Amino acid sequence: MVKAMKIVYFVLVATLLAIPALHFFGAKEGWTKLYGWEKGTKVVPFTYASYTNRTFQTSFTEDFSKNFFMRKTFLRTSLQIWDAFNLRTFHHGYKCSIMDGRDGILFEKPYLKFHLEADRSGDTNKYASVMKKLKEVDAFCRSIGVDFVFVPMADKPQAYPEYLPTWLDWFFDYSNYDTQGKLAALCRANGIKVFDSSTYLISKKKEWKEWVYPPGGTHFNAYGMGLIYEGFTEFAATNLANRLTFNRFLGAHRAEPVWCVDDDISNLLNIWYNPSLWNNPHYAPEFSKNAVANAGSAIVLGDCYSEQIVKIFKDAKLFEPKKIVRAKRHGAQKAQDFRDIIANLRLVVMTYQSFNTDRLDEREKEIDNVFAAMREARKKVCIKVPDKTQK
Amino acid sequence: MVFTSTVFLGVFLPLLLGVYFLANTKARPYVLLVFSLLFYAWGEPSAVVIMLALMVFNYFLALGMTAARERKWLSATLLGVGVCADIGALVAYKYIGFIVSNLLPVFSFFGVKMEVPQVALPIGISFYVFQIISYMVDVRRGTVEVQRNPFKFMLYVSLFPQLIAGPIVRYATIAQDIENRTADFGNIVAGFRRFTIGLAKKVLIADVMAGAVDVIFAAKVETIPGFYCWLGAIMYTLQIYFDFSGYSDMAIGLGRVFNFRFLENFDHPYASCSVQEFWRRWHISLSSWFRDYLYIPLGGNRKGTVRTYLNLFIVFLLCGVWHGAAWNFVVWGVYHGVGLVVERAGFGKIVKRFPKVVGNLYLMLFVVIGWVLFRAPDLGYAGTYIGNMFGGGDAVFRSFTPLIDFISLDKLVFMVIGTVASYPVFEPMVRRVPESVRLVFGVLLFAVAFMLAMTSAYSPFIYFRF
Repeated sequence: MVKAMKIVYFVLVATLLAIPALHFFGAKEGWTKLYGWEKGTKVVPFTYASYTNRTFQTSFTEDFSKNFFMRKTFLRTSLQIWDAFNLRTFHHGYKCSIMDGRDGILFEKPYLKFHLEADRSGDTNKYASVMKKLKEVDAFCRSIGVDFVFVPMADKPQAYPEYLPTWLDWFFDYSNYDTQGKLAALCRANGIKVFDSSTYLISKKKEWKEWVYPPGGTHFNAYGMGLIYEGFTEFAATNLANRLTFNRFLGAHRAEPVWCVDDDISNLLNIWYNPSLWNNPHYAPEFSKNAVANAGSAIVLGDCYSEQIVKIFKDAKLFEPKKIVRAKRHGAQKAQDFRDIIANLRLVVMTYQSFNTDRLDEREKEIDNVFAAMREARKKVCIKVPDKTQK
Repeated sequence: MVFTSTVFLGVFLPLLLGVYFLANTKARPYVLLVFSLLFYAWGEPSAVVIMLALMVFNYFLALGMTAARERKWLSATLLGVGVCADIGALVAYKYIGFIVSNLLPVFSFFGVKMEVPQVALPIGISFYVFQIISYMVDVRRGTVEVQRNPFKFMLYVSLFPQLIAGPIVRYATIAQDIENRTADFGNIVAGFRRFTIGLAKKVLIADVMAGAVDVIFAAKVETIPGFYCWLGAIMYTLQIYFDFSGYSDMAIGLGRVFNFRFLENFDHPYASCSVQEFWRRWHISLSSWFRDYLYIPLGGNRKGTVRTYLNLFIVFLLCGVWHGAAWNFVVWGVYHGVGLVVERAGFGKIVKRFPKVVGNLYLMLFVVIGWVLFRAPDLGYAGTYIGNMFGGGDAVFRSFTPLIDFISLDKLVFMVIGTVASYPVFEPMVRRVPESVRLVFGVLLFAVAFMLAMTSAYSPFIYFRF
């Protein structure tokens, strides 16, 4: 009996080992391109040069690793095993652990963690700390006659709670979760201008023509950003003292279908390193052709979404391209970075996705750094006295 | 190429197994040799030439030593030439940059302008050089017969399971195995089971710990609160053990598949109750190499107490140097050397009187601190890190934000599993389980570990850099 089982053991192990090697007998499983613009794999021809500089080995490894037979099955199986035990499904980097949701929709675990832990208690101290910082920022902007707008961003679990993993139902009541909305309400109560992009976006969910987060993606795509831009223009028309001309968002152009339900983790790696479809040249927003830029300048600061806000503002010609500056997120912000724009500053936009409950110290340091640089820049530049009669 | 890479698991190993077991018995050593050289040459296109040169050089020297056996001065000279050439190669490729960079102040004092040479370190050179030296010394001592077949000698040095990161195999251990190339089904199954355990240790525990450890040690040391310093040190303690012992398990398992019986390299070192015991259980092939080829020739413990301590100190200083061309490795080696000397001087007798739990705690505290020296990028970082562990610094617990996203259930679960598995707890339990059940579990474990390894990003073994 034991000998028979050993034979079975050997056969099963040998079979498992042989499966990927079927790649070389034509049994390839193509690498699922999620976004169309990703390059496929190709093995560099073997030559002395390609061998000694290792391009052959690298290309061979990449091609095999991404195309071997039954790779997707291997991925799915290992993901589901981990998920069944509520353990990690995949690790990439120090914060991108992925959770496998329903129908192949992927979520980042840290955001789920926020929902589960950070805000269920409604920790008012955390909100108070955030509000204190926002008030400081708002007061400074008011003192120099500049509009300040805080734009909390929705995250994927908020956008697509219906695709969260089944087991999460046991722990989480979605109806109680709305950290961005709560923060927005506090801002309004304190006279801080806030465009709650999260509530706006989700309020338009029935009108969504396509996914705003790709099923395997970590950021809004160009379509989602376009919707937020539209909402921002409506908000600006009634809330901003400085009159700005907003150019019409016509839609997001894309070259080919951009999602695949049966996601491939290596594609997810690409998504993480190329964090947003926004950077995809084949998936770009379009604005009205008669777009005209406003006079003046703007500063945008915050998390990765601040980069997207800057891009959309530039594409929409809200200001001239060189007059929209994204503040540094890490490292020292220098006053000279604002030198050319501080005199005619009209708008400051701050956007964060996980600002309200987590990494507060880190966020506050970023903001302090930026505003210290702004103050320094103002001291060195002759500032026009703002026209207080302008509404 | 690493054992957990897609190319090794999905291409090299299946191809080798197919070609090897289809070949006739006489051809098998040459098949293994070719594949071993291919294994090395895949990742080291230039360095394979260095290994080949050393193998050829030492092969002829060993033949010369055997021929000159009656003339001891000649055989000693040939041995000396061989060892110098081997050590010289190791120094040239591994330590020259370190030596020059530390001597730069001296050079500039004498008005000599020097640039620190940037030399690529051939992977595994520390291991195969030591293996060649052991062979040469054993041949001179007469404890092994010289291998006259150059290809079988090259097979001994370059055998792929142990080539890159050990265990350091003595020729006597596998001399018979090299000749015996028959296939043994029992060994094949046992080998794969051992390989599976190693693979599981690497992908399920070592790599999981590595994620958190890399985050902690990448942070500015003054920002890391004491709690996370301890967490990082303990996780690294687990990471290095499961990474290295996992690799050794895979090496031993693969060796067994091909009918080679390597000696054990680890024996639950974290279950030790003293530094002396630790070094009888950790990286056994290296510690025994230093004992047999350095400590004993220096006189061992036969030349008085002071000389014994000095010999121990020298051995562990060089052990630290062997691990890396950086001061923190040297200090790590000295740290363990001092620990051993102190125990020999009398503290060891005191420790033996402790209950085993206390002895083990003492040893683990000693080892965990030592691993910080090993892992830290430099001595300054290590010093501050250890200071933080014992209350130094003013980093606030809640302010260490990089790890907030990262500590998760899986890491804590595997930390507990890893800690328990470090002790000889599971083996007695597993032995009570029927063989058939163990085989079923073995297949499942192989399937899970195999799938994870085939679908995860590249993760090299820690001891690769030696």
